[in-house]
Amino acid sequence: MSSEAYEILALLMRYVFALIGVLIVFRSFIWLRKDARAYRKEIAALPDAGLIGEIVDLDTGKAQPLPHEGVIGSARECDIRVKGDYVLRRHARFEFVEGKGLKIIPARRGLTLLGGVEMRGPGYALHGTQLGIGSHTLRVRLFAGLNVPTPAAYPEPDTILDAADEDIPWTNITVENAYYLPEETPADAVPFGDGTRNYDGNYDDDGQMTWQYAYSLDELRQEQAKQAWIDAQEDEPAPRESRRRRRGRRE
Amino acid sequence: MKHLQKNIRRVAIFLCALFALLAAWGAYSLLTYGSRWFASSANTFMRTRKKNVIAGDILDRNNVVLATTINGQRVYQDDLNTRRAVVHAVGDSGSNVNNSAESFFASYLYGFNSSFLERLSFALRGEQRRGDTVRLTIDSKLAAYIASIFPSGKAGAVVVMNYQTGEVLTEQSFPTFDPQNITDSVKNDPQKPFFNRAIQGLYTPGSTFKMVTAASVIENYTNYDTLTLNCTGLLTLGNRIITDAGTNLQENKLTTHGNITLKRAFQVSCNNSFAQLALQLGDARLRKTAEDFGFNDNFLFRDLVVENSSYPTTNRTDGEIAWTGAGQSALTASPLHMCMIASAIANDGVMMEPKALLSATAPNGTQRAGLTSKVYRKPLTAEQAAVLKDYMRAVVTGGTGASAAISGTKVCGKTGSAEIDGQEYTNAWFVGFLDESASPYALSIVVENAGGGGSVAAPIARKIFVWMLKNGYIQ
Amino acid sequence: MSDRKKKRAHEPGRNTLLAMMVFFFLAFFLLALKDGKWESFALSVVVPAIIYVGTAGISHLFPSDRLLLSLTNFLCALGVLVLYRLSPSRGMSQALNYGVGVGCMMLCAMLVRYVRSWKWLTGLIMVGSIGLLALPLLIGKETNGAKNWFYIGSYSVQPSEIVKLALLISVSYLLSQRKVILSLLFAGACLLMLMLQKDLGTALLYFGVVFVLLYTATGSVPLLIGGVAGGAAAAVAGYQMFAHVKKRVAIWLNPWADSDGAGYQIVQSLIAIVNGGAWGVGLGLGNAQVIPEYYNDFIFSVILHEFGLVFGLVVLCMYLFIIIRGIMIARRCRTVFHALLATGCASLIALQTFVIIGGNIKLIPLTGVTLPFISYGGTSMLCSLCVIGLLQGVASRNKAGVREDRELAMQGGDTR
Repeated sequence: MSSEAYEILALLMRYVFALIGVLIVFRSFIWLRKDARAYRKEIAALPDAGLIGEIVDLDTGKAQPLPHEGVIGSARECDIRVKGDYVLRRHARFEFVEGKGLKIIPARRGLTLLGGVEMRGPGYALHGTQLGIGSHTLRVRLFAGLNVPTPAAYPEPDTILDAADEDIPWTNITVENAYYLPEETPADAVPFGDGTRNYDGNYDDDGQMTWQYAYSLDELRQEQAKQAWIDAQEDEPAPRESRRRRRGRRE
Repeated sequence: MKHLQKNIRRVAIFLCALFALLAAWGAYSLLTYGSRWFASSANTFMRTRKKNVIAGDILDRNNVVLATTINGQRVYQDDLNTRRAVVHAVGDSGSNVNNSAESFFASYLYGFNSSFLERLSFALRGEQRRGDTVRLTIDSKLAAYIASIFPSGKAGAVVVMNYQTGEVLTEQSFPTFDPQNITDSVKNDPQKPFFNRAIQGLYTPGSTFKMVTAASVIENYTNYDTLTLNCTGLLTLGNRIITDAGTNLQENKLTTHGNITLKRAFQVSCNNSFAQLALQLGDARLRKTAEDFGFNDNFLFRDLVVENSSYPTTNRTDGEIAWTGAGQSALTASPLHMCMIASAIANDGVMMEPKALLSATAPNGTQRAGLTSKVYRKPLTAEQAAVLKDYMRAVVTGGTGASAAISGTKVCGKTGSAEIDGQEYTNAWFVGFLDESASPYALSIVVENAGGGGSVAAPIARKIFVWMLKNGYIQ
Repeated sequence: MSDRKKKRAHEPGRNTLLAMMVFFFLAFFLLALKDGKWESFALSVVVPAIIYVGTAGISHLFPSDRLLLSLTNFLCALGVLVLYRLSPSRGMSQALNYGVGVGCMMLCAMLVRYVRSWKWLTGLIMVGSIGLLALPLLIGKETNGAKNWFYIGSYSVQPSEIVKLALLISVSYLLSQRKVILSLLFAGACLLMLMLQKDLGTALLYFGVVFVLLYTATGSVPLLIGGVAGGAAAAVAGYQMFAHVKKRVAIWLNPWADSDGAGYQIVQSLIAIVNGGAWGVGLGLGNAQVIPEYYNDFIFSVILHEFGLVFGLVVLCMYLFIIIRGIMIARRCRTVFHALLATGCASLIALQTFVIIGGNIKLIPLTGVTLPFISYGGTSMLCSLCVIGLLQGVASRNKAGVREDRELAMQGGDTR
């Protein structure tokens, strides 16, 4: 090919190359955006994506989603945030280890209890294990289906309603949780029975909540959860339901 | 994990910012400096291009061919004197002269701007492609005349420009050389003939800087008219002593001017008075005026690569400031810049951007670029410019620049004799203009190591102006 | 939905891949028309085929990120193209490097995908990398003021490139275990070794990556300020200590002062870029060989010269997309280690690209690092592709995680 002809061809081709380049960049950009959208959609359909369960603060009744790895502490950036006495800003790290459970790595300075025993080094929490973080007690709840050992002596929670329909969230609320409701009973709590009973009547001689009261509270919360669920149903089509129980305060 | 997400997002923003910086810097530096890089003598890419393209012609403003291509050879103007006179403006085929038309307008000369279709049409016709014809603003006849009257053997530079449009009529550097015949003696000449002193040479402006000092006084003091300055002939500031021309301390001979006005001080170029004025003004005000005139600016003119002038910013003792007022100290300016300063005064305080390209025309006749005058700065008001004009007129009518006077023509000017360490004689300067609306021309002359500005440079200015007036430079 | 549409939906970015293949077919075919050699004709078919196999084939074998793969493949093939155009022998050997590099990339991806415990591996890597860095000091050859090479037989090896990977993995792991001090000590030791080898460009890169990782892991502002201050102090110290750094900075400030001597490289680079203009001088028409090290440090200038600024911007965008993709992968991670690793990989590529392109266009002083994927050099190519491999591994872990979540969600069930 003559050099003049080649030159003309090459000069023409440079526009083609630039054009193809711009095209590739444009397509890649679209691809990038589409992928990000698809991922977001997928995650929205999987409310539990990236989670392995939840941690319930038994002192406040607050449940927080539990990711694979993270930090428990009082700082804002902590994944499990616990505010209270003797809780450090970064109190403990946790890490899910397949086949072993939730590895808890406590900070050296803090007081951390695993199943009631003070931790001197890393330890594994299983489903139902209670964690003492400073003055707070937390309970680890892991999803079914995870590859973790079954806790040796863990009582299955009593389900109030045995019609455990997976699609109706309020059926899953258990007594076991109700036992650890805050000691200051909410003002709007419905007293048991005809409403004439003394407030103290809700507790037995040992100061434990009576089961009747607990049930009544549970009923109340079921009512609230039901209402919230119904409201949610009206607002938007139901996403795939979370395995974490709805408490009406889900972020 | 939660804080990690936040931090990762911040890192992502940082990384994207880095890339934005890359793109922004690339765009900025290419747009501002691209033409300079292209025009550099280190640009060897063009030499390879020259094989495929017939380089376009370079013409002067009167369409005299200064450079053309014959049988693939670059050939310059036939007349040896003209060829030598315009060599720094036109350049040479070996790219020895930096930033000349040959390299600075190479994108036209080698047809880099021609479109794909034009190239195709050349190819289809089976012809070799031609570059564009470039017409410069310079006048080769004027240049040849100046070369003939410039003191032989001396180094220096001459710039003549039209102060209303900014067209540079000639920018010459001496010594010159013949682009057709570059010998080893030219290459090894200690005076560096390849160096274009007119735009690249940085000189101490000497007394010509008093134009700026006087402008600063006029700007800052309303009573400049009635100021009385006392010249004792000797001003001692620390270890710097300020004296006037003609002083010989060994023989205890002092030049004194006594009590004089600003105009008189300007007329006789009294260093002592201007040193006092500079001290009174202070460094900040003097620098501001100097920067208004383009000192310390990054000259990015479209057609010319002019070395940046500098007003010193460090080591400012009183002695230094005083000497700065008289144009010495670490001040530097190129002859073209001094010409622009005179032009600003002549043009009622409006400084035009210097222009070197009159037009670039494609082989098929389409014009790719033309002359568009552009205001560069406005350092003075018309009134202030008029006062300075009057002062500069006085320099020629009854001051140091008397030998530039032409009867019947209002020549204005300022002489300068810049002392350079290690030189036997001073550098002779003359910066001036014709205060005639029909002949709006300004010039600046510098002759290295030659003596006083009034005795060496001013007569050259006179000859140039006379020649110009005789040869039709009247609109 | 028709069958065709369905198929498209399964194969995202098919058009992109096709455009890339067309690009390289045309480019190599053009070169073939110029020189008429059969190798060029062969490459015009082989390179698009490699791109297809390298993208579609690999993502078929291993659950990897196709976008990342295709962009990487494009850049690598671009490197082969530019090198082949300027010096065919280098182009051929770069093609070989590319092939080997893709293999290494897969190994790295598998490593990240399947290794469950990094504890012991990290220890091994740390010891190994310190040892590797010490080698050039003992048996190395000095080039361009830096002593960072040694030879195994006829192959030159630059251990600092390999240690880049080790540094990424080990610092990410240590920081995920919150062993901040240990990670700093290790990074400091590596930096010291590099300083001793006078390989300041790579040292700058290491510093940047470790700093980014440290910030990501801790998010602490004092550390951020301390890091910037420390970096500035180290830069000043390096400037004072090493003569060749002083020289480089002086060249950067004004390369034109000595445009035939010390500043020649950068001056020629700038001139090549400006000669290219917006659309380039045309493939095969340029004269970029006048830039010293055109095949290595200044390859981006060569691309700007022959393909023009528009295409340069395209290449820059591709790097940017690779980095954004890396960050996206990092943000989808479930574990701290993998998130840090992906962030580190993305920032390594970003910083390396920034440092060398910035040097080419005189934004920062020139340092002798290579342009990832494009620059000539086996170790550099391998390292860049391994970094992508690490990202691929993390991406495939993420995908596996989402799949698991989906399966668990299908099963339903409460928290036990």
